Amino acid sequence: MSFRRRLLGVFAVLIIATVIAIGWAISVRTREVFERTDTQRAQALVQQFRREFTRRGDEVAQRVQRIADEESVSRMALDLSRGGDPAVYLNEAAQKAQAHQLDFLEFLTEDGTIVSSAQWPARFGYKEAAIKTTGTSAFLKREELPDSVTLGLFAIKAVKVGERTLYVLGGEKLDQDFLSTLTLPSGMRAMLYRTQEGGVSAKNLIGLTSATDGIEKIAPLIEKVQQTNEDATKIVHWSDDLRDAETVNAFPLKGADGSLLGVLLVAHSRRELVQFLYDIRTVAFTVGGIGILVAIMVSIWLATRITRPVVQLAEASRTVAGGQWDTHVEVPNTEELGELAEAFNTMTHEIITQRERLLQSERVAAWRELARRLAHELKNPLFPLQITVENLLRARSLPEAEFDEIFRESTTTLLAEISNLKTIIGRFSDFSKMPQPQLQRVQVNDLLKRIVALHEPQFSATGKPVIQAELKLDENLPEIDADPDLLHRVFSNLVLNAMDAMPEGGTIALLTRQNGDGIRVEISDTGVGLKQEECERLFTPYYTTKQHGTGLGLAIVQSVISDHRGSITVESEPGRGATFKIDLPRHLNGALRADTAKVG
Amino acid sequence: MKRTAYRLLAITSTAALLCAAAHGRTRPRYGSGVRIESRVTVPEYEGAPEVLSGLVFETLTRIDENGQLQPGLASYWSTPNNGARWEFLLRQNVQLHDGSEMTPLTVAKSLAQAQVPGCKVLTASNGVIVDCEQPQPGVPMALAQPPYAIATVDKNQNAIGTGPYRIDKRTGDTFSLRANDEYWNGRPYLDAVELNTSKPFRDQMTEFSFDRADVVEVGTEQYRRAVDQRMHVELSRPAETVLLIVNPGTPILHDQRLRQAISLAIDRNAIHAVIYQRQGEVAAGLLPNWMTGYSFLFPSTQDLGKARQLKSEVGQVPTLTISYDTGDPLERLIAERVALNLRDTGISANAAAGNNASTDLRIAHNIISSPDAFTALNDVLRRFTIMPVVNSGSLESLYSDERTALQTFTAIPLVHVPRIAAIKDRVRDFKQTPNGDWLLDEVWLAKREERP
Repeated sequence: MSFRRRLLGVFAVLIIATVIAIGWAISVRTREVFERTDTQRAQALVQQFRREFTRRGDEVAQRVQRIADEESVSRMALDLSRGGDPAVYLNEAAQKAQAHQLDFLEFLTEDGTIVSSAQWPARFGYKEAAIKTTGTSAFLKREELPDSVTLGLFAIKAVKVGERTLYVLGGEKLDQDFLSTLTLPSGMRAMLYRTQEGGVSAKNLIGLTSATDGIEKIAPLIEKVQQTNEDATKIVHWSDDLRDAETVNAFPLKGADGSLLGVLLVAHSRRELVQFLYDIRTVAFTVGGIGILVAIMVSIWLATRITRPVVQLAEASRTVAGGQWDTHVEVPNTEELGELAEAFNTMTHEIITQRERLLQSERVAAWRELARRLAHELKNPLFPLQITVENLLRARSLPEAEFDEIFRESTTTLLAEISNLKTIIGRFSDFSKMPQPQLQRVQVNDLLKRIVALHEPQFSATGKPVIQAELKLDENLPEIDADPDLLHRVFSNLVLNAMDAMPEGGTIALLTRQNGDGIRVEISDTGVGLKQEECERLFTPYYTTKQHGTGLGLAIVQSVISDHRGSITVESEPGRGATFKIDLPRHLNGALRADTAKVG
Repeated sequence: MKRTAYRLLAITSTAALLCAAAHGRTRPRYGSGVRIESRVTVPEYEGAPEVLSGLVFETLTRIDENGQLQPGLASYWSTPNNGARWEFLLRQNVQLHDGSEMTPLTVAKSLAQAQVPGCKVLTASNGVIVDCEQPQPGVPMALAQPPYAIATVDKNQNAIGTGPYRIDKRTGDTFSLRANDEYWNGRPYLDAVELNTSKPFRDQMTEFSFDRADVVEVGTEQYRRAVDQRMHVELSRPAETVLLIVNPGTPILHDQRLRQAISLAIDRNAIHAVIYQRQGEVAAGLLPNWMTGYSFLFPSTQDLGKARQLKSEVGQVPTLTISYDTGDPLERLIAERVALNLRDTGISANAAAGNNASTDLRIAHNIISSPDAFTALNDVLRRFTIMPVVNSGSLESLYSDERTALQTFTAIPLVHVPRIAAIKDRVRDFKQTPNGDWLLDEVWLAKREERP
């Protein structure tokens, strides 16, 4: 990753993290504040509902008291106390209940026997257990009806006539109508769960207002209240939309005997709160987003500004590496980077100067070496030429027959040495004009076999020490892209060098094997070997360890191998022979093969 | 002695004068009309409800206010062979409402259409013969029932009879009757009678209170109120039976033990004492005691212990439904009370509105169709039980048949209640048969200032 990108990333991460952290902190803090406010509001609403509930209970008690205070009820009590027929009052409760808008009304004798029942007229003569619950306040009671069981807010009042008492038990049904008549603040609603045996069932829940409501959503809350008999609160999500959520406060509704008769659920919408939090979040996201964008742009600007000199330096370095030594960079105002740029410019200047000097030195050394080699090479044939010419001059005074003989011998020598000079000159000429490889598919094993066959007579020449050739060729060696003539010349040169290195005879080993995506050829001898410094200079042109070598053979070998994008190394120790290792690629991608070129 | 004689003479004279004055106030008066409300909705025949029997349509025999069989369209009847064959001598010069003469053929056709069980109707020169396969001593009494009223149709296919009133107009459930000037027994006193048959008791009472009706039926639960309000009410003997009918189609109720448990669970006394305000009597039998004299022999008290035992023998019982007629508030009370009683024995039951014959149990009313026990029992068995119709006239066989019918527990009698009518003071000569049928043919209307 580039320095600029890294710098940009660091800047961006720092700024984004800062913006997110600030946004998160604001959001959390705001949420806490509003949650607290909402909780306080909910508690206030619940208190209001409790007061409303109590007020309704008081209303019921007042209505029941009004019925008890009626003259007709007093007459009924008197009549019954005197042994009157209760059957006459069968419909009395229904009429009174209707007149006083009560859902439940029963007249009871002292032992709880129902004289008249508005909600279940047929229950006359049965006993009512609520007779034991007398008092001024209203109480909750489970009321059995002909076809169902419901909950009611009841009050019981006594009508005393002499020693006898008639009880008036009246109440209001806790149903949807009751809940709908409660004066509740906006956004608040009440539900009522009537406790029955078994699990929580939807049919016992009053007040579910929409199809999205589900009993399963509030069942855990109801169960919790049923288990603990205490208030509980839960946020209920009616749908995936958080705005549909409600905070539901659940209160146990207990009967006069303390038994749990139902659970009152007071729910108030969280829509406003959630909407407000959404708005805050939206603003935070917008501001944060804009901040991040600005931060990224600033980061880019800053990173660009900071890294521009470095980039220029890098570019200049690449230019220098590409060979353009006279590269200069602008010197920025920044102190550190300015020094760096100046140092770079100084460095390139010094490099140019040093290179010029080095080139000059190398050029002079090369000329000297060339001159030395050329002089050395030319001196050897020139000396016989000089002797031969001097002999001829001296022979002019000899008799003609002797002169002729000397002349023939001298001319022969002269021609031989002149030929030798041509050969030397030809070698130098060849080295200066190495041909480009003409590539084709070459099986190196075949090439090596032909070379061994070619030199076989020399290995076992009469009067010379015997040299043995060992072929260790990989039968699965793949063909490679190569110029067979040039490779033949390389391998032949190496074989000849090996023969020269074994004047007392020995063994030449030729080995091939696959090496990665290419091949390896090793040519070893058991000759005198080379010193370390000789190994290092062995491929230098005009360097030779032979008495009559030009020093160009191995230089040509390395040149050919290099042209095939291969490499050659030598491993040797004095007295232990030498091994030349050649690595050649299997394919020369991008290089035009000769046969392909022909086809093309 | 002389003083005593004078005193006796004076008292006698005063009494005679008082009697004469009284006779003057009660002397029938022609004209005007009455409005009658009745919710008797027994099946119609020939396009007219049975309540018109006696007014528009007449029977060969009739039952008077004392329950005695009297000649109707037949002036005389006799049986030559102990009830297997009955010969009815028709009155002469009786005209139908279209002016045509009532003939034996007219009568025979009408009776044949009504179908006398086990008998065929034949015509004679001056009467009709009811020829039965087996002796049926109750034939004259049976023929006094409304279904055997003589009716035919005129050329416009309107139902006509021979009664003192003819149908002038019918609008829904309201019949407008007009006096039949050619009535064989003399023109009726009233010019017109308007009869409505659709209103429930409560509405009838409202009509009565607002003086929009002269004669109405009174629900038993309203009897005390009517008396308290000093209305003129006529109370019949127990003439209507409230029953709990068991649907034989419900598989669980095939078990007689369960049916008996239901019968034993019911607190009839509470129903009688509270719902019916002690009017009538607790029903032990299908017929009231005044008709048979043996009804008290049948058990009628609640026995929860035995009921629970029987129920436990039956095992699990699904929730039973007791249907009731929504038009009768007492039926709902009874249904709910029975449901309560059944719950006390562990049988779950619910009352359901709508008198549906397919429900498990239903509340039903049977109006005693005849003061003749044989006829009345036959009628109730035909309507509510799967028992074959009784065919013997002896009291022992009647008791045996009724007991057998009761022991099937398919029609469980609850209470026998009277039929009550509220009558305006100016309506005179209103009579009821012992079984509560109204006898309106001799009704007349006094002037408003007259007191009965």
